[in-house]
Amino acid sequence: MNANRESGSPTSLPIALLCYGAAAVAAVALPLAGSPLAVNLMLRAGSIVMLAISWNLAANAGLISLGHSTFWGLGSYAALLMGNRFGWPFLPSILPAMALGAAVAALLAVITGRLRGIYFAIATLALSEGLRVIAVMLPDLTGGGAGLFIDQTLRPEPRLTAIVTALGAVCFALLAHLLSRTPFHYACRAMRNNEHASQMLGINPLRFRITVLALSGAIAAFAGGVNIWYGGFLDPDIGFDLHITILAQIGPILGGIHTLAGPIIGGLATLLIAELTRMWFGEQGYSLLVYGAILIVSIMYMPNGIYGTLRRLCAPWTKRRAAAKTALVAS
Amino acid sequence: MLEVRRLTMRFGGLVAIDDLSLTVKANQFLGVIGPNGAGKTTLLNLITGYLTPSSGSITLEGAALVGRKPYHICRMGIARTFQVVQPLAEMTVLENAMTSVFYSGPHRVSITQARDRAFEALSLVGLAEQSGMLAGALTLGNKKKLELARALATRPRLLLLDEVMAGSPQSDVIDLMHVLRAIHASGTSILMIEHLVPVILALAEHVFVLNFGQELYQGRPEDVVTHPEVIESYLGKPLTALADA
Repeated sequence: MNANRESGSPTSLPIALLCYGAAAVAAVALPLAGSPLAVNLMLRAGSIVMLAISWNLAANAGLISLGHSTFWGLGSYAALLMGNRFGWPFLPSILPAMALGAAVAALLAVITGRLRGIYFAIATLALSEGLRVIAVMLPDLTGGGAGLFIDQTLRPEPRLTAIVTALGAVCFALLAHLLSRTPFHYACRAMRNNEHASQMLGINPLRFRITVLALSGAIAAFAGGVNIWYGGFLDPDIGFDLHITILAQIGPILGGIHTLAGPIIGGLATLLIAELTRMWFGEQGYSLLVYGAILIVSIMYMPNGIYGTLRRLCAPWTKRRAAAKTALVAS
Repeated sequence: MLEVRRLTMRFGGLVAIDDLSLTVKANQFLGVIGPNGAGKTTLLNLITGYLTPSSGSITLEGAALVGRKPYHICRMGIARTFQVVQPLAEMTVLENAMTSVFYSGPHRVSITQARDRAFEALSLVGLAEQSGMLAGALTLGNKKKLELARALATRPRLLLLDEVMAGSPQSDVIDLMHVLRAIHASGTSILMIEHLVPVILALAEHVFVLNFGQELYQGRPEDVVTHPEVIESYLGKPLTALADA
């Protein structure tokens, strides 16, 4: 009966919780047991998935961001400065990073008011570029164009940063899953579909814009904050990198926009494609070309993403199973 | 119940609503008719907070509505349908009605409760079978029914209908008339804009004729259709002649 792929997921909550539990165990175990390569992969996988979830949450409410590096960069700078200026260690420094990401995102929601679609997207792009320029112009705070190294004495073991990133990704995926079962999710989707009419259903668009963007900003800032402790060096071009913005949206678009599984599948697929092309074609040139080509082709031939395509391919099977169930109940 | 006092709405040089006063009494079924461009939809947009009047007041049981946002007005107990249908196209019919339930009342509603209440509203308008379809895939007639179901799911005290029947097949019109009678009988006040004059005559207790943003005439349905000015400005010819045609 359900024609919608956004909700009414066939997976029951206990099974989903089991999956998240297993993912959490893997998030801790793999970096602990693995090589530096495994640590690096887990960190990148966790970061991409968090960015994708963050971007997709905003997209659910019709807010297409072209400036997710804003929150990533703010998170990075906040964590770095908390460490260098106040001596805060790794884990506590992530909290102010998230708070800053959420606050700026909430401010963005208020300032952009009723801007939607491409107009909102341009505003987010302008914000991230503006912040990059500001970071260059404040050398006393940010180190300017030359950048800053994080206090080496405070740096955690790389595998700890990988565990925190991967666990963070699992937690935020679970959060998005739980949110999808609340009225909040309905309000966001109603806004995406028709902000004008949804007001007549009692929905205050500004309230949900602020909430959803603050949440999205906090998640991306978390990812940025953890990454600076792993990388150790930050300059405006790394913090407010357009590449981060692109990475944040490729995951959901490739995996399946507006779905729960889409950003996770898409994020991991992005990483896989990047690694494979790098292995086959080396560090420069061709790998990016192949990477781009694969993305264009998959977006052209899988408009609903990998998840949407999988569901379509599995549809006859699920239908048959549902029909069998109905027949069983009827008899 | 609803008091509109000396309401004026100007769009630049155009006066869409001109010093208009109108009352909907508690549990009244008021029909509003008038030619295209008379200001009927503008009136609804003013009542529901989508537009702010140039001057005048609107009150619901004494509480001022002017300056409030549509979502406040919804929570105060007013629901409306849109003449140009506004389905939440990428959500199912059921989810459309459920969204209506969540934020229109003073209390938190669980998903299960919302689903039940939404299904109730859909069954009432005859959309129960389509509840799993995407709203964007419905026919125009069914989209109009969905407008009504979504308005009903907010459990309004005052229901504003903007041409909810025009464009629907004859059989649907008759079904919807039964539905509206039942809603009215259950104690909901209704203000209905409709171009199908026979429907207004059959349902409304009182008819208000709007022309160039002003009151042309108001009275009992049978008096309205025989009033010479109404015939001239809106009906074109006496309704008996229309019925014969």
